[in-house]
Amino acid sequence: MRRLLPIALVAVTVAPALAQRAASRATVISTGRRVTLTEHLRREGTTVFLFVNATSAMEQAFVADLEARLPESDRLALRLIQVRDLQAPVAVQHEITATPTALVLDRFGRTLARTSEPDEIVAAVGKGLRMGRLRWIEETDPRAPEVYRTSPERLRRGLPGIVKTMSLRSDVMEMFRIMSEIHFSEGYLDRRTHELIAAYVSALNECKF
Amino acid sequence: MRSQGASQELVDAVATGNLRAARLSEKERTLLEFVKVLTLEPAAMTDALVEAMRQAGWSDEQIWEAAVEVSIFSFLNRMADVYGLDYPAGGWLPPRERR
Repeated sequence: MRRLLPIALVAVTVAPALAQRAASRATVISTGRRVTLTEHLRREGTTVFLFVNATSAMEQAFVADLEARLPESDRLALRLIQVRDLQAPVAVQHEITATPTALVLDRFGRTLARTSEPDEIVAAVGKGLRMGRLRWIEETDPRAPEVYRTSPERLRRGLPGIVKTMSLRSDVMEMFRIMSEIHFSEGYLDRRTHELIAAYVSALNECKF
Repeated sequence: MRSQGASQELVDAVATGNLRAARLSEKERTLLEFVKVLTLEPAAMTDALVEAMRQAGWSDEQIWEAAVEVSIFSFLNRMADVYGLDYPAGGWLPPRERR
């Protein structure tokens, strides 16, 4: 007992600290009861639903580490689903076979990832945050090389969102190419003045692009 | 803008629309006033504003190209907004969002 006490003390003092850190961004939406994930989506954003064992200090640490790795964005939400074991109704409902498991859902409620790997969770979140409201031709689409007229390597690295907003018509894509050329070349105005105008217009339009 | 040798202060001032603080020439301030009207209330454009541009030293070709640039970026901004695009990776970020 004497030898166990210090360990127990560490456990009770460390665990709440981790839980508190996690609570700064994560919200608990279930402690075992069934839950419809799409009712808890971040509007216009990406949502990570993380199934964790509430009694495991290691899994609490996993949550804290994951939080530290996720980008800070008001378009990202982390929802915790705490279960005691895999027989919990919510775990059975979502076919969870291990904890921690994350389900990453995009703005439309589609599953981007189901994984226990932090790297894969972070990658899926990145994909979700770059997703547009409207459909566009994805880099992985078989038509992409022709639409974007670019190398497989560039497609693999991912294209800027603004390029993808032009992808539904080849003539619009062509127009975008010409517009880019105009912007990035000297005409009657020099490059610096082009950039000055572009930055100011975007600021006036309150556009993040 | 940074690639064209502008200081971080100038980029921040222009990108946040806070021109008073920016180190700009009178000629550039006149240009940005013209840009502002054409961007926010294009129908409010007047002969007087265009004449002010000429007086500041801008040629008709340059005023025309400024209008082209305003139109291109207004178009791109609207496409970005309809898709709900966030700040591009590696691009400009507001000072409070820098890490």
